Amino acid sequence: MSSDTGLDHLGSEENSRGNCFSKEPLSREILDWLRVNSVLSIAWDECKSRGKSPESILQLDARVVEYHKSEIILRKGDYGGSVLIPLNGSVRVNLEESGEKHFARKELSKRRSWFSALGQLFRRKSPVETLLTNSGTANGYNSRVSVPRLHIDLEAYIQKNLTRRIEIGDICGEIAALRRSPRTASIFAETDCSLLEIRWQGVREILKNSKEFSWYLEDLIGDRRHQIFSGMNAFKDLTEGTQRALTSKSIFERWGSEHWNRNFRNILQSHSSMIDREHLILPQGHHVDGLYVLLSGFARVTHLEAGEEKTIGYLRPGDIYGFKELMQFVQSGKRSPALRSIRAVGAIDLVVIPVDDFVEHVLPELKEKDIKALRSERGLISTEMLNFFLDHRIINGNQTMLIDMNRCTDCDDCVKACAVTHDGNPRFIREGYRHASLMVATACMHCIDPVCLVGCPTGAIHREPESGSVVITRSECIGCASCVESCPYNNIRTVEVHDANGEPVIDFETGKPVLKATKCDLCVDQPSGPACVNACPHDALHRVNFSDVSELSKVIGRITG
Amino acid sequence: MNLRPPHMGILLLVLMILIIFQWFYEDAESRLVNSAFTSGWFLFGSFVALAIYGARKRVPFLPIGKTSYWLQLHLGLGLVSAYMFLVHIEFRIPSGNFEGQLFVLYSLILGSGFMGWLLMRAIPSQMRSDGMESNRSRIPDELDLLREMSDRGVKEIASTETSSDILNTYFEVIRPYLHTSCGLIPSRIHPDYGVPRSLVDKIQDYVSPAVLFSSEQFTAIHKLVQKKAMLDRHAVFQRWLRGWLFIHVPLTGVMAMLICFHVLLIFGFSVGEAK
Repeated sequence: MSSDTGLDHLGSEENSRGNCFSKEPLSREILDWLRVNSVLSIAWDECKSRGKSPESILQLDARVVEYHKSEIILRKGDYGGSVLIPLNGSVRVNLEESGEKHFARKELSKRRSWFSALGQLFRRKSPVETLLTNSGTANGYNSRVSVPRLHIDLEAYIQKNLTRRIEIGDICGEIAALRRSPRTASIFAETDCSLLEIRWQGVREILKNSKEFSWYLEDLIGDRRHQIFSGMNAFKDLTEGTQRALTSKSIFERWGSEHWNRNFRNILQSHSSMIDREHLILPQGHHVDGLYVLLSGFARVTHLEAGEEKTIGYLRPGDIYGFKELMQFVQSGKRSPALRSIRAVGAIDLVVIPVDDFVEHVLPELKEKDIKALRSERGLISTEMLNFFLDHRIINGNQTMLIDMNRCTDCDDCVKACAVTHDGNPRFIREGYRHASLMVATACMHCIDPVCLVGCPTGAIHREPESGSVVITRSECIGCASCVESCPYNNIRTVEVHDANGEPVIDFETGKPVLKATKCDLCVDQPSGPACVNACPHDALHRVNFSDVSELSKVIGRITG
Repeated sequence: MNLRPPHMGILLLVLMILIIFQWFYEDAESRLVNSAFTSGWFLFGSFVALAIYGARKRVPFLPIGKTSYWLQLHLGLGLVSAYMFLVHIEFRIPSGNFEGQLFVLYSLILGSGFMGWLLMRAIPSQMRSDGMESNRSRIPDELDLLREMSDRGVKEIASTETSSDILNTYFEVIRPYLHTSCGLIPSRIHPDYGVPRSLVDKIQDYVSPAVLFSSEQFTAIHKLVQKKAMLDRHAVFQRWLRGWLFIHVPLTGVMAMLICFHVLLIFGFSVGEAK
């Protein structure tokens, strides 16, 4: 397992990080306690020796949050970039998959009413892409709206189900924060408690200044992936005991470059081969040493034909490779070579279940439907199109805008609809990469791995916990353009801020107009969802989740005829 | 033609409307009441429903079904309303002055709508067959740039020792072509030279096209002419894609006013009619 957290490249943003996470500064008492009694003690001295005081980081990026008994602190499947350290009380993590139903979200996030939505038609439109200074939404990090509660007999639940207490001073939530993946477990308050919440920006600063702490967290992530198999279709029917045994015997690996997005646009423009730049994990013909299960990131599956690597598919989180080869081994008793090559597209985390453990634990408990799930093939997408998607990293998209150019009449109804829902200023460009009759428009794809989040100094760009949509809280954006630079797809832009009179707001220090980042927000607050999709009269515009192969195949099938 | 099967729900809805209309109409006929009132009200309702499509496009943020479904409903209702219209006028060519105007207007709206549907299905794939992507609003700027570049290019040719035939051809044929509008009919492209056939014919009067287009000096201008041909082709298609709406939409407005007048007249003259 690599220990590279890959944060060394980030420059200091001290000067530009204006807004504190907490309204009140952390007390001296809490800071002293953290220095001695929490996991932060690992990083404390090292940070100081590098000239970066952990206290200043925490004052800027941490806050104390109070929870009452039975309140849900983190929900499995939600998105979030902060880590938590219990300060007092008792906090537990739920390890029982069957108990997750109690943590399920009861109400969906609030959308506009029809009346409010219709009001958009009559609002004054700004002539250019501008954002009024007072139009920021208040759904950012600093707001802690109603906290969901568990409506169960907590004592009985803890007694009957498998839960684990998180020690005071220990850390939780680090997997989602570091891997930009959904929360892997639900955490709840057993008693009234206080927790220190450190937002991603602070965690990044600490990791950047303490190698020891980054190694510690990487090890912890490996140890804590106790529920990795429960969320996967192919393994969800295995008993919890088997899942636990598998987790303890599996090998966790990390491959590829975390910062694939840096320089990506230049590489793409140079038309050099992408496949040669990807880390080879399993070469075709080599012995398969286990079942490969992808935890995060993407992998390219290729087949060598006449000396040429032909892309035949890709793996997404939860996908497996090696089942065919392992079954051949079970039937013949001879180790069979890999039928395909696997390459890391960007950074990936995977777990390898060794052959013997697969035969001993997995095979006896697999049912026919599970085997079908394991054998499932990619949709019927041509090699050329797969290459196009992989080379341009479009597979990263959760909501990629694909346009069928054979149906698009250039009516621009999609752009107009976007403008109507965004104060007259559209948030995407109906232009982009093309392959055959398909166009990938320049619109935020709400990526599975949103690299645009990494460098944001204030956390203005973040994921909606529930849907995973990537949104920008205007009031927290400082216009540093870090997200614009990080987005490998050129889907984020900065625009000038205007005041209520339409005049540009000028920064007193620099004398330049104040900028804010802007991008597609998937119409998160609109009653209909993405207005662009609704507006297309010719069914030419689609929003596609590249994780959903059946949906993707359906759309591609419709586009390519 | 890029066609797709209709949405089943919309197909059923349209069929249901047709059946309900037929049932009410036959009921009116069997009761010996004036069935023109029944067919007229249905026609009026269908006209309102057809016009709502335009309003739906203005509120894309309301969860009332995708616009593509509404378009299918618009098309289906358009066909049903044509049948209702024929029933309403009792399958005859109207002889009255006012009803004749309504008939002509309705036929034009229906015809332009059908034409629009055909164009929307046929043109996009034709337009994109050359692999070029053009932005409608940027085409004039691109053409301006292209003209500027060609004039610059010909200055370079003129500065070298070259055949006067090339320069004559440029100033007499190619330059005027670069400055002409695209018109309404897409040019037929010569397979060998990638420029309009009509241009090749004109060039022949001055110089052999094979000589001109194989000339190294002329390569840059040749590329610009090819680009102009492609841009013109796109511009023509864009004109057709939008042009039909300039008939369909204004006529719909006029028709709406005349229908209201028609309803008022009918009710005005129906006073005292035996029930």
